[in-house]
Amino acid sequence: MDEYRQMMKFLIRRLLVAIPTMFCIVLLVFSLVHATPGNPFQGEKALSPEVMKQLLHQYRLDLPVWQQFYLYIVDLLHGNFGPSYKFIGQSINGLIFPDYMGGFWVTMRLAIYAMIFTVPLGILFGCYAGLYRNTWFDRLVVMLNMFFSAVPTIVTGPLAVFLFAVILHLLPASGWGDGDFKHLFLPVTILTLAYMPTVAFVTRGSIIDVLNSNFIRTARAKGLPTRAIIFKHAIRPTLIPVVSLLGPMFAGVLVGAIVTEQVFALPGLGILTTNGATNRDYNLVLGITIFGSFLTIAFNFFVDILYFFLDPKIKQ
Amino acid sequence: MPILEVKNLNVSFKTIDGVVQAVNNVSFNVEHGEVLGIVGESGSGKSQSVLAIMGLLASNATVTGSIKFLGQELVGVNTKALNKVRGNKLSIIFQDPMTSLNPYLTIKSQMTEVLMLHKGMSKHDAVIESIRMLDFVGIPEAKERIGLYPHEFSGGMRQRVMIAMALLCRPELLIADEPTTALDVTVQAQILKILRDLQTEFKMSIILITHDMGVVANACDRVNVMYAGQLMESGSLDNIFYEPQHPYTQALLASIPSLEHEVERLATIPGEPPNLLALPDGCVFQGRCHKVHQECKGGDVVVQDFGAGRFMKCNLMQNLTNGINQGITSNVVVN
Ligand SMILES: Nc1ncnc2c1ncn2[C@@H]1O[C@H](COP(=O)(O)OP(=O)(O)OP(=O)(O)O)[C@@H](O)[C@H]1O
Ligand SMILES: [Mg+2]
Repeated sequence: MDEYRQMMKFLIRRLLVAIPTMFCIVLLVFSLVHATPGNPFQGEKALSPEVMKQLLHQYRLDLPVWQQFYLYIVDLLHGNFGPSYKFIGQSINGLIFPDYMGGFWVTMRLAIYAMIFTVPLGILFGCYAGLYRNTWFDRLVVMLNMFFSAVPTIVTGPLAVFLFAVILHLLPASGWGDGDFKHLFLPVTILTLAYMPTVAFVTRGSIIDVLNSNFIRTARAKGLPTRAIIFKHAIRPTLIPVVSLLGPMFAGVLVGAIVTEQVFALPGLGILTTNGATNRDYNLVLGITIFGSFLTIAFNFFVDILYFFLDPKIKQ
Repeated sequence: MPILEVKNLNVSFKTIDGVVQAVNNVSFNVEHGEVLGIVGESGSGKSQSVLAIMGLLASNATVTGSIKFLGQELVGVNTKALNKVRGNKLSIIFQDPMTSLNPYLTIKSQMTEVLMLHKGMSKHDAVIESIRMLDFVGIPEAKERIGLYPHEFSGGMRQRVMIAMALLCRPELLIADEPTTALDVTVQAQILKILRDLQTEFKMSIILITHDMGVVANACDRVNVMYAGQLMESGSLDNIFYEPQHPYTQALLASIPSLEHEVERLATIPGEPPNLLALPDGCVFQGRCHKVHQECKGGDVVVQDFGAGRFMKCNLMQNLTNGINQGITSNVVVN
């Protein structure tokens, strides 16, 4: 009961921070997008002044900016990202969350698959490397981390395509297919390889620190078998820095997924974002950015809750 | 038979700068029911010698010699065999109670696991026994507080928890490595009293490591004086306090602040201990000894055995049997 109340207090405190943060992000992105010179309808083809006026009116773009902002916020609160300026008659919601396999569904699948491999494998390899320090496996983990921190997916992706698709003809070079193993294997692997070494490296450092700590010495002094020392005494403190890494990392994986989608020509948010930016589809860029920020904040919130359960000191 | 027999114990650490000789050819016994004090300056190898006994040395350590606990050799034995002994018949409490308990587990979970492991108790019985032990070391409302996390206790209370945890299996030998150094003075006295009470209650032996000669005087039956990894002098409390033979012991005693006349400056021993990476030939104390002479600067140092477990490592000849030596005036009765 007491625990429950503490938990609620903790959550409410976090929410009170999250809401203004979200508001600031919306304000910032909105201002940036609306500060770009010109308007969405100034394309290659010049439109007649009447048509232009008509369009601006139809999309509320002739109102003062603060009023546009107010209306946009009201829409957002209703879960509505507004209409697209380029795909006439379509809403941004419909573009980000389409009825078919595309947009966010593609990106999310990619990110989730990547996380499913990244987190457990990263933790496992990291623990193993930390427990067996200075073995070849440990050195490999450290080296891979350096390599994949230095070489971004925009490089590893095309290299992998070149090797596995063009030379070896093992896998298709691009496309979603029907979301099958063959089509997803390369993008998910590339994404996993980009982030897993970091998880492994952080886990490794963390477990090394923990195993050198005084309370592990106490556990050994008590005669506990190694198994109990690791799983009962060491794993929780080891995971704390790893968990705090996961919030930002999930955001990173989403962004990474967007890049990876471009490399493999997958119909996800990546393509939408590029389209939005090049076509001045304000609402599309706004929508994707705000939705991404929302996910990041939500994920950090979720991580905070995890933290709450991992670290008894936070409960105070 | 002694509870613990340490013979020619050496502990060295491989480091990038070379080999650190932390404990050098140390031999001593702990008898049943006695409190052995180990004193010496910081870095003299007190902790490393007891960590060697517990098998808790850092991974870059090499141990040679023999450590027999209840007749069983502990040097070179595998972890599994060691785990049967430690936490069970052989326990340790550490200097820093703030970091020695696992902050992520409740006291209950950390205590009961010892009993369930070594005594095969059920969780339920283990909880009851743990609460009893917490009561014993003076934790108020032990029944409620056993469910708390370490950070919810003060430093002194945590050290009590550590003591209770170490005593759960009624060890034959308890090692206390500066158990009060991190605590404030009033709490120090309470902890020492608990240790003394427990020692009489459980009739166990204790090795008590400390910097504090006052603590030694209060708690110990016998004293080992260590310097630069070596055992310089060993004897009964009275031997060491009233008739110190070794110049180092004498210097250490001179550095005790006395309560009667408030001293402004502690008499410290001038100079620095030698570098453990490159120990000098001859006596390790030569650089700071005011009685140093030529033969101290090379060759083996004489170990003078005065009988009754009293000995020192010093070239300065003390003829205790005839009572004629400059260090002591009277009341020396040996053998
Ligand atoms: N893992 C290690 N690697 C190298 N040297 C070490 C290691 N552990 C301890 N030492 C060295 O061993 C020497 C003896 O250390 P020890 O901890 O026994 O001192 P101590 O007498 O307990 O001192 P204190 O009173 O400060 O606790 C020190 O000089 C220390 O630097
Ligand atoms: Mg020490």
